[in-house]
Amino acid sequence: MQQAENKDTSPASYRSHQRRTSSRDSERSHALPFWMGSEMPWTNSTEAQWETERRCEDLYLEHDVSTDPLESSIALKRKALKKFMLRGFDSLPSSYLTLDSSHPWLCFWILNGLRVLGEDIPVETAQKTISIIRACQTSTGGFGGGPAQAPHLAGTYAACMALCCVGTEEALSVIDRVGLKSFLFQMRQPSGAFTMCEDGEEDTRAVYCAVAVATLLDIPLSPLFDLAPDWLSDCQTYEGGFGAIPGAEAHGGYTYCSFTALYLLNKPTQCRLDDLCRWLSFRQMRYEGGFQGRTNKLVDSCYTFWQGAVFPLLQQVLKDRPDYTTVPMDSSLFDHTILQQYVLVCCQNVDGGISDKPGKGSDYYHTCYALAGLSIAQHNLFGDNDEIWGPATNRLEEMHPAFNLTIDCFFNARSFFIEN
Amino acid sequence: MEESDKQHGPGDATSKVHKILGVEGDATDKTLPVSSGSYQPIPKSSTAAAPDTDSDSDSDEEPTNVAYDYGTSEEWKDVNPVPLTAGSVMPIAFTPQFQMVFGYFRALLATGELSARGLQLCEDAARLNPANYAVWMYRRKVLAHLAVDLTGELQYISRVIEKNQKNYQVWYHRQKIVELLKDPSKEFDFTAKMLRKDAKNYHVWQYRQYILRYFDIFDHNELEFCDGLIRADPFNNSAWMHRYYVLVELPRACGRPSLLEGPALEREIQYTVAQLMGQAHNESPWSYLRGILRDHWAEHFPTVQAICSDLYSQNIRSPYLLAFMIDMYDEDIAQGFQATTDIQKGELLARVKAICSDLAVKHDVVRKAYWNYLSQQLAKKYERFLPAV
Repeated sequence: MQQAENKDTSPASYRSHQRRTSSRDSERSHALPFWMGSEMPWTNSTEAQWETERRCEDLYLEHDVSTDPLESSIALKRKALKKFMLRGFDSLPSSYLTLDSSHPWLCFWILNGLRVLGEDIPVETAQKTISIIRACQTSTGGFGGGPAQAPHLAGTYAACMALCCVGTEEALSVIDRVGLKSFLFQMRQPSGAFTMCEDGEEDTRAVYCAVAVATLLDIPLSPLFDLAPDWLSDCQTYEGGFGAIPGAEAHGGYTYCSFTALYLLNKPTQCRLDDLCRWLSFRQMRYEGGFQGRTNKLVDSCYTFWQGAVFPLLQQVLKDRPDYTTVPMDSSLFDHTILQQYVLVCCQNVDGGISDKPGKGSDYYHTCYALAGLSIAQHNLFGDNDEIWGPATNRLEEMHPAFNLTIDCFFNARSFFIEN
Repeated sequence: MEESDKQHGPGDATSKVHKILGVEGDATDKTLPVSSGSYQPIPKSSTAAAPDTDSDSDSDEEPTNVAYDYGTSEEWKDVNPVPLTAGSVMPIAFTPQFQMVFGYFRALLATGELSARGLQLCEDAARLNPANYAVWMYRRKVLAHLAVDLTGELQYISRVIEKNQKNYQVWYHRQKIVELLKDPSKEFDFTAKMLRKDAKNYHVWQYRQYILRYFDIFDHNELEFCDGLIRADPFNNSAWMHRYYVLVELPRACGRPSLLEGPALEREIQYTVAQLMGQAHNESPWSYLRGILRDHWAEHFPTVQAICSDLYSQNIRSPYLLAFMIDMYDEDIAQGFQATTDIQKGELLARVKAICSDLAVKHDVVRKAYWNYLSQQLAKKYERFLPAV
């Protein structure tokens, strides 16, 4: 697959850091760290980057990252993951206290993780979810982060998605679409932006949450989002990604929110697509294989989804681009193999969950987004074949990149809301 | 309000706490450390998805036993805490203090009371969970209702932010307080202090830019500030971004002309090039250069081309240099700066395709698919310049 042409490039000594050149890493030798061949200054950034690469290197050396995906023995630890997920509905340690205003998120991360794994939701878990989401529902139709907490767009998005993961009529009927619609209107600002809650911050997350919920629930997008595309395109930076608000630094999470919202509003060409494509492609780390969130920051498994899921949406747009630059689009524009390797080799934690990067503990947020992103990497929307790295049991359910729901959960919910 | 005013032994609270817990339901009871009844600080090594906790917070400001004993207090005896109903939340291991404080908090929300004691309660609630936006919303309502002097509030929120730098709610709260105080004078030092702890903290940069924009401040020496940070770490992309903000985005947001014209633009190009010459493998200055040249390729094409040729001839094959050269040639083909004839444009296109190919097979193989795509896309865009076969 990857030749080792540049293996003889003798690296400048960099704090006596020596890269391996054994045969089994020949596949990764194209991904020598970015400072090879030049003297790099020792700064906070390069020091942290060096340390992260070293930790990944240990793991890549320890495991057989062979060229042929089917020959690799690196399995997704399904049983442990399922156990880790279900445990979240039994008890959560006190380190989760700061998520006491994110109960719908906890439900969604766990349920969606189970769904990506292809698991059914146990009846008892479904019932618990419905009770919790009901307790977060407010008289406005919006959902708060917990009982007695004011309605919030993030809580509303997470609550709706958690109910879609359950997928039963009882669950989907919890949503008060009439009330929710007026709540969305209340969060809309004159600029076209949205605030997360009354007297709360305004950013591209809020727009995405509102657009995703409205689309899913079949709430008319006009006039609610008439001004949103203009505001969103102002959030695209000179780098090509999107920031939280106009002028802020390009960031993976905000880029997902902005571009997906533009996509769902059918205005994806209202941004500089080529700049976005370059910025996005450059976020994949040449050595670690995963994505970083911002330029010169560290790899983090949650961006497997936030950055990875923008690719199929963007490629869809580029493919159908109504101008002369249309070219055949027959594969993912990112390296799906090393992305899968990063999650499977570097981030599976001994406790059963998935962590941000080697050396960090796992949690439900990273587990959900790493699994969803892993699925995006496996299922190539632009080729004939899936690209499962490792044993066939690593196969995950296919995701809808714009909602972060499995295709089954998405269509099940969508047809419910269209029919009712 | 200082914590020392309200330190009480936590043991006395247990009876009341148990009363609250009793209604909580079995699932949660099992996980509660009720035996000791002592306050469990939230572990600093938290693995939750919550924003990163910083290990360098000033522990001397935060006594371990923070929760005021609401249960035995005369001041609070008219309030009936509102417990969580069974099964209404995820089974987080709530500490007794957490249950108590939020039980009283829900009670005040339910009655709509806006009082001084409510402010005190907010401080305990925010200490236990600074990410609870409902606490901050309520606090702002009380502050407005009681017309509290906000100078003290600014000091309070400074202390909270120092312990919770990566949190949406605390920065938003500060924003609202500073808006009311109509005084941004302390904000530059405060954000600079926070950036010394983490020079890439997204919230801090967003907040600093907000202050510049909201108060329309254009005479603060922000470029010098960025320069200090870039000298310390040229890989600090946030600091590069802030330069662009100050020169382009801020004037635009405030309805003033761009500061990136004429000599100022030349100075920025020089500044960026000096960084590139020192380190061509740093993406940030390359992105910045592309950004500042966006509408100015025509004037600066020869300068920029000379720099790229120089670096390339030194055998530097940084993917960022090569990516930049692709864009530069793309501009030349489209606008005809130096490549004026179809033949020259055709040659340039062949050069671009060769660079894409080098990137795909040698210098940036991780992005192989992207470089191949770009090569095809540019070939299609300029196919009229390709020699007929």
